[in-house]
Amino acid sequence: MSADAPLFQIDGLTIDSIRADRRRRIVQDVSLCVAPGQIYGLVGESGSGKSVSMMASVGLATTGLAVQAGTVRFGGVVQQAVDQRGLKQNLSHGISLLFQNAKGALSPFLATGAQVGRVLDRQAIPRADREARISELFRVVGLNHADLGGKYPHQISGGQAQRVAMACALATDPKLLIADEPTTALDVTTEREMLRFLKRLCEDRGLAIILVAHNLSLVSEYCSGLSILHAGQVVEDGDLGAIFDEPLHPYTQGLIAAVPDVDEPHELIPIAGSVWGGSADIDRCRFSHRCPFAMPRCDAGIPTGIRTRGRNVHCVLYDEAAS
Amino acid sequence: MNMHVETSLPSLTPAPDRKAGWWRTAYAGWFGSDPLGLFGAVMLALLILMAVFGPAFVTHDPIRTTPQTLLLPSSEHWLGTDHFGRDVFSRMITSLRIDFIVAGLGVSGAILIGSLLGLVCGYVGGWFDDLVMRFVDIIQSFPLLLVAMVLVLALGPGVTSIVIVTVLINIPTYARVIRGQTLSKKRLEYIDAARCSGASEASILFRHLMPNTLSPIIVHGSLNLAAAVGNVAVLSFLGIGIRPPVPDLGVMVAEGTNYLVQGAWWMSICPGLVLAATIFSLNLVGDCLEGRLDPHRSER
Amino acid sequence: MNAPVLAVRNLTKLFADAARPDAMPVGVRGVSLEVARGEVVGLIGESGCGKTTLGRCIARLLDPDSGEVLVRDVPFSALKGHSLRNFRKNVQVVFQKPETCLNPRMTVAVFVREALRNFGIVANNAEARKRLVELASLVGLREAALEQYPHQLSGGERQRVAIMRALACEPELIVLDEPTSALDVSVQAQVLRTLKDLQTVVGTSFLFISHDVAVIRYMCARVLVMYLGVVVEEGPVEAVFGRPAHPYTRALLAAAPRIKPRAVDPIALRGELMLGDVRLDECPVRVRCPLAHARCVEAPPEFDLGDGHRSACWLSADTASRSVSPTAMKAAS
Repeated sequence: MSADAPLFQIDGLTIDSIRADRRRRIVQDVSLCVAPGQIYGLVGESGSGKSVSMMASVGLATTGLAVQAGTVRFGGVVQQAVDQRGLKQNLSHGISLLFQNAKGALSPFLATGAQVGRVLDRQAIPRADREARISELFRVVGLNHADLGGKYPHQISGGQAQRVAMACALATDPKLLIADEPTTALDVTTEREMLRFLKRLCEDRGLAIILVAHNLSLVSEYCSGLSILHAGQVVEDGDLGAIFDEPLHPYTQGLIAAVPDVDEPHELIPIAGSVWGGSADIDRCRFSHRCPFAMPRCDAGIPTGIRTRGRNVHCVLYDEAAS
Repeated sequence: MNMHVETSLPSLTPAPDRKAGWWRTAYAGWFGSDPLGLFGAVMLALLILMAVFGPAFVTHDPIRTTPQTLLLPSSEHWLGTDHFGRDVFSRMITSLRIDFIVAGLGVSGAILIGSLLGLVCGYVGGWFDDLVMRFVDIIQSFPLLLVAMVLVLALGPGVTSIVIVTVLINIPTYARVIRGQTLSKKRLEYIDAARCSGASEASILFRHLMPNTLSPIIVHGSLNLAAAVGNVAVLSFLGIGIRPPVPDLGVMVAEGTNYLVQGAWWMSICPGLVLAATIFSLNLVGDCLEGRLDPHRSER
Repeated sequence: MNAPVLAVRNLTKLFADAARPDAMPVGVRGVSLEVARGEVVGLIGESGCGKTTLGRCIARLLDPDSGEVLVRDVPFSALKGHSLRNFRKNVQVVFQKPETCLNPRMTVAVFVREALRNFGIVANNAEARKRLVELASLVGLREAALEQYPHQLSGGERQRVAIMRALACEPELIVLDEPTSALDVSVQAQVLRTLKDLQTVVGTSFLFISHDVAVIRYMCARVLVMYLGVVVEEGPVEAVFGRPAHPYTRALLAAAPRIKPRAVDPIALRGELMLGDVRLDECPVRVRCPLAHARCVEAPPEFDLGDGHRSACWLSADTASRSVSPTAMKAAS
C-alpha cells in the first residue's frame, strides 16, 4: 500500500467516551490507511471501537464521545479529528456510508426510487437527467427500477433494501464507501452475493471500501488490507494475505483458532476473558489479560507497531525480533 | 447492533470514593445532571413534611368560625383569617393533608385496579381483553366533570366519592400502559424459559411478567398524582368535590376569589400558590423519574 | 437401536401473513425427524425456513397444526394442563438472544432455582444451593454470578445461565436455538466448547438449531437441512457436508464465510427467498436453483443415498438407485 498514494488515512485517532461521571478511552491511537480502489477490512469484536472510530473519522461522533486526538486525510485534505464539524463539512463529499440495518436506514414513508432521488436532489442534477440517473443507479446495484422503484421499504426483502441503500450511497459518486457490517442482517447466501457485488464495484469503478466486520472469515476473501482492533487498540494491521498466512499477534492467532471451520472441523480454542475485562489503566496492552504469553512488560506501555513480514504487529513479543 | 457489548469498559476516572457517603452517591446518581429534579424533590419533600407534621403546628382550629373575619396576616394569624374568621394558615395545612390523602388514595387505587386489569387483558387476550378495553374506552370518552357529577349524585358529595372518581378516571391510563407492556414482554424468551421451567400460569403472570411491566407506572404515577391534586382542587372549586367546611385548597381558592375584590388577597393567593407548588414539584419529580427510569438508560 | 428420545411425525405449523392472505404461509410443513439418546442433531437453514418454529413446537411453546411430537414414546404434543406442565421437564430450550433470555428482575440463583423447585428436583433450599453451585461449575459460570442480576453479566455468561437453567431440569432433550449466534467469535468458541464438553459428560440429547454451517459441523453428528418449511437433505454431518447431494446444501456450503476462501464456488443460488415466487406443489428451491429442470415443477420425494443420507432432489434419484446395494435390499425386505 506504500506504493500508492493513500486515499484515506487516519492517524492516531483517540476517542474518550464520557458518560455521567465516567470517562473511558474507547479508541486509542488508531491509524489506518486505504489506497484508492482497495477493500480494507476492519475487524474486531463488539465493543472494540471499530464503528466508533469509523464514525468519528467522518465527523459523525455521537454525543457522549470526545475525540481527543488524531488526523484524517482524505484526497488532499488533512483535518484534525477533534474538529468534528469541520471533518463533516470537508470530508462528507466523496465518502458514503452503508449500515447493518438497511431497512432502518431507509425512510419508511418514501418509495425506494424516491429515496435515491432525494440524494440526487442535493447535487443539483438537471430535472431531465434525474429519472435516468435513478434507473442507472438501480441497474448498478442489480435491481430493476421499473419493478422496485415504486415499492416501499417494508415491501422489499432485506437484501434488496441493502441494495437500495447502496444505490443511495453511490448516488453521490463517492471515492470511499464505509460499510459497517453491511451483511450481518442478511442470510449467508445473500451475504455472499452482496460482498461479491461490493468487490465488483471496486474493480469496475475504482471505489475504495472499508469493510467493518466482527468476523475474520468474512473479510478473508474480499479484502487486501486489514486492521484488527481489540479494546480500542490496533493489534495487527497490514497485508491481509500475510496476516492470514502467518498471524503474529496472539489475539489474531486466537481469533483464527476460535472460528469453527466449514471444511476441516478442528477443536476450538477459545480466547479467555472478554474484550474489556482488563484493568482500567491507560497505557498498556489491552489484550494482556487474555493473552497466553502475557508478561510484566505488557503493562509497561502501549505496544508500538513493529514492522515485520508485511504487517505491523503491536506486541512486545516481537520487539527483539525487530531490533 | 444486535451484538452484545461484553461487560463494562474500564474507566479513566477513579471510582467514586466509598467514604463519601451513600447520600452523595444517591445524589450524584439521581440528580447529578438534573438540578430541576432535585429542586422538585426538595420542594415536594417540604410539602409532604408540612402535610404530615403540619397539624401538630396548627395554631387554630381550621373549622371553627370566629368573629375575627378577614383579618390581615399578622403574628397571631400568619396568613390572616377568612370570611368566617378561620385561620387561613391552619386551613391550608389541613387541606394540604386532605388533598394529598385523596389524590394518593385515588391514584394508588387506580394503579392497583388498572395494572391488574391491564396485566390480565394483555396476557389472556381474547374476549376478556375486548370487554375490558371497551369499558375503558367508555370511561375515557366521558368528560371528567360529567363522570364526577354523576358519581357525586349517586354517592353523595364528600371525600369518599372524590376518591372513587379519581380511581375511576385514572384506571384507563394504567390499564392501557400495563396492557401494552404485557403484550410486548410476554413474547420475550424469559417467559418461555419460565414456562419450560414448569412455572404455573399464575407464577408466570405475577412473578415473571408483572415485576417487569411496572416501571412505567412510577413515572406515570408521579405525573398522575400532580394531575389528581389539580383535579380534586378543580372539582372542589366547582363545588362537586370536597365540600365546605372540610378544608381543601380548591375550596379555599374558590371562597377566596369572592373576596379578592374586597382586597382580601391572602385568602386565595396563598392556598393557590401551595397548590401550584404541589403540582409543579410533582411534575418535576415525574420528569426526573422519567429520565432516570427510561428503559434505554436503566439498562446499565 | 433403542427408542429415540424425540420423534417428530409429520409436523405442520404454518403462519399466514395477515397483511397478504394470498402469499404462501411460512412455517413448518410435514417435517419428521428422530433424535436418539445422547445424539446431537443439527437443524440448519436460513431465516424463514421454519427451524425456530420447529424447535418451539418440539418444546410445546407452540401448538402444531397437525402431526405429533413424541418424547420417549409419550405424545408430548397431546398433553394438557398439569401433565403438560410436569412433562415440560423433559424438553428444555436455550434461546438465541442473551439480552432477553433471562428475567431482568431475578438473580441467576432465583431464576434457575424455580426449575429445581417446580419439578421437585431438590427437597429444600440447602440442597438447591448445592445443586446450583454444581450446575454453575458444570457450565463454567463463576459462583459469584449466582447472586447477580442479568444486567451485571456479559452476553456469554447469560447464555451460560440459560444453558444452566435448561440443565437444571435434567431433561431428555435440549433444543438449542442459535445459542451462540449473538455472541462474538471468541465468546462463541467458549460457549461451544462448554456445550460440547457438557454433552459428553451429561449425555443429554441436543437438537442444535443454527444458520452457521461451521458451527453445526463442529457440534453435530447428524444434520437436517431445511428450506421453506421442509427438510431438503439429512444425514450424517460428514456425508451431508462432505458429499452434499442437494443443490441448496451445496449453495449453503459454498456461501459459508471461510478463513481460507475457496478458489471457485461450485454453485450459487439465484436471488433471495421471495415467498410470492414459490408454488406449493413444486420443489421449493426451484425458483432459485441453478440446476432446476423440467421435472422440478413436481415436488421431489426423499431419496435414500445410504447410511441415513437422504436428499429431496430429483438429481439424487439416479444416485439413490445406484446406492441401493444388495445388503440394503435384503435389510429392506
